Amino acid sequence: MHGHRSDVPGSATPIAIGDAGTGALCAHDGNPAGDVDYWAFTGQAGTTIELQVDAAKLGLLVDPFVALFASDGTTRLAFNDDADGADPRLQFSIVTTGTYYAAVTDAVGNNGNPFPYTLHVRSIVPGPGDPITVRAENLGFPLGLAVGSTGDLFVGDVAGNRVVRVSGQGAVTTFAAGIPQPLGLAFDASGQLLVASLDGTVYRVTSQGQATRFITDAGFPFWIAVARDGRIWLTDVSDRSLRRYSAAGRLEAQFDGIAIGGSGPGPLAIGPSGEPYVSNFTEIWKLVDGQFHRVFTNGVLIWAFAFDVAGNIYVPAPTAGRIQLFDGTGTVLTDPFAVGPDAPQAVAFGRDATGATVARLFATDPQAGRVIEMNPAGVAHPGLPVGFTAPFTPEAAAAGLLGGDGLSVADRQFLDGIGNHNGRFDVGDFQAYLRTLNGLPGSAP
Amino acid sequence: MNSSRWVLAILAMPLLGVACSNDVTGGGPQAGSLTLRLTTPHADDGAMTFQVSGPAIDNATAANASLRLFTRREGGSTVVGAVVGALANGALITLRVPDVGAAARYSATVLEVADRQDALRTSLTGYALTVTR
Repeated sequence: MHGHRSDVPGSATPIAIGDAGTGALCAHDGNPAGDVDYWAFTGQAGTTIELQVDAAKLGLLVDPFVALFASDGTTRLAFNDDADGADPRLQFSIVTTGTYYAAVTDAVGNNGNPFPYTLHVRSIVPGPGDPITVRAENLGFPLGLAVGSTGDLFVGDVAGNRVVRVSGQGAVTTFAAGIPQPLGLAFDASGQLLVASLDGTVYRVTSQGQATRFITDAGFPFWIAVARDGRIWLTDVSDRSLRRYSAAGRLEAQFDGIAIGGSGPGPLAIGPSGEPYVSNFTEIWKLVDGQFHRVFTNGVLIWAFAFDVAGNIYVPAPTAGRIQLFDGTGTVLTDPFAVGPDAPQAVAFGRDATGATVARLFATDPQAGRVIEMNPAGVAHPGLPVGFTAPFTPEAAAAGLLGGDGLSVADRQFLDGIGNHNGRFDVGDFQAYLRTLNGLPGSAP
Repeated sequence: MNSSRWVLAILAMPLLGVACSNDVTGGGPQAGSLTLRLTTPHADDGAMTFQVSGPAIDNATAANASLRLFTRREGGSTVVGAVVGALANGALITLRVPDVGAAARYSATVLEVADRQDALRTSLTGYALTVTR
């Protein structure tokens, strides 16, 4: 099957699943967007297909794209650029039986050299996380993802300069507006949302959605996580460092991440033992006693990963259009775990109404403007709890404040860090600790 | 006893009863509540630790629902506490004591105060706690 292909879906060249077709992208095609070849096939609900384009691997200096469109010919369902070197490959779980269109184009539009390609359309075995379910769509460019204490999803919309809240019923509301290009998100020890912004600031957002500048001494704060002790970790792209802040936002330590290579440190998560893990976009490293140690190297691009309680790591691989599952040592457990996502960039486990982390995995899918959920039947373990965990009761903290035993030196330092960090545990720190527990009079329970 | 004397006698009985009751309680301790009242020079106090010493204190509770109180007994006659909330001039803590008549023998001291942004007050000038019936 070869020849000049159609530039419009309505006259797409038919192709059967399991077949390969050849075509050529022509530099001087009449389409102002460049030559676009459409191929049509019938997809059966419940199956998963893969579209693969071979061109660069033939030795050509080219950069083709492939996209999948729904039966209306205009709704883009999935897109891929560079899954296999410069060649694209995407997977998609078909939910509705019907006609689908594969579109092949290239990076340089109508100004590049003409080149031949081969398109493979095949059925593949989906992962345990398939099929996916769309939980929210039309979100602009959703990137960062954090899950609130009652299970609502908080999503940074880079294009809309806002954070949206997605309820368990799928209702989407703007939670905080006016935060320029939000990147990483995490809830701090007081239950307020921290948002790293491309303007160089980490904002702190109250439960009412009021955002104020919180951390301003990082050049380019990128990703952010809060440890169980309430300390804040963030990666700073400007000097390629991993930084640790007190719960009150005071810089405590800075670790040079240049040595880990790649473009890291980038996305960040707190591991099972409380240590920070970072990605350099192809590898995951962890910080132990101030030193970075490589956990594993992946063959494809890695974005914002998440741990389950067993220490397994769910890794979104946006250029490959899938989510992978590794154990804590980096051994592949399931790949693909899910192929339904288009270009997933951040994953996070859900929480129930009590705040407990559950075996539900969500992901942002920015190219498609949506938040998706993997098939919960395929998620073996609940997520590792994220964020601050109160180490003792208010009564225990009060007893320590009022002269009783029971708080260690480290506990007192921690409480001082939560509060006014004046070098000792005092009543201001106690008030701050109650606030983190929603324990102040009039606080929500 | 004629009828008018009978009526007077009946009317006098409650009065005698009252008089007898007063005689019994007036001679010993009367359990009840005292109020720990705060005087503050600031309008944005958020938390305070304090100490109350003197005769026995059975228990202590916050004076209203906008305050949260934590206490610890330090020896037989001293209670230390932390109270958190929108602190203001006036009633702060209710002390349940075995003898309200001993109110004047209690002494109360402000130990630390923080504003509502968790900063510790550097001076306690102008603060006072008093125990009243």
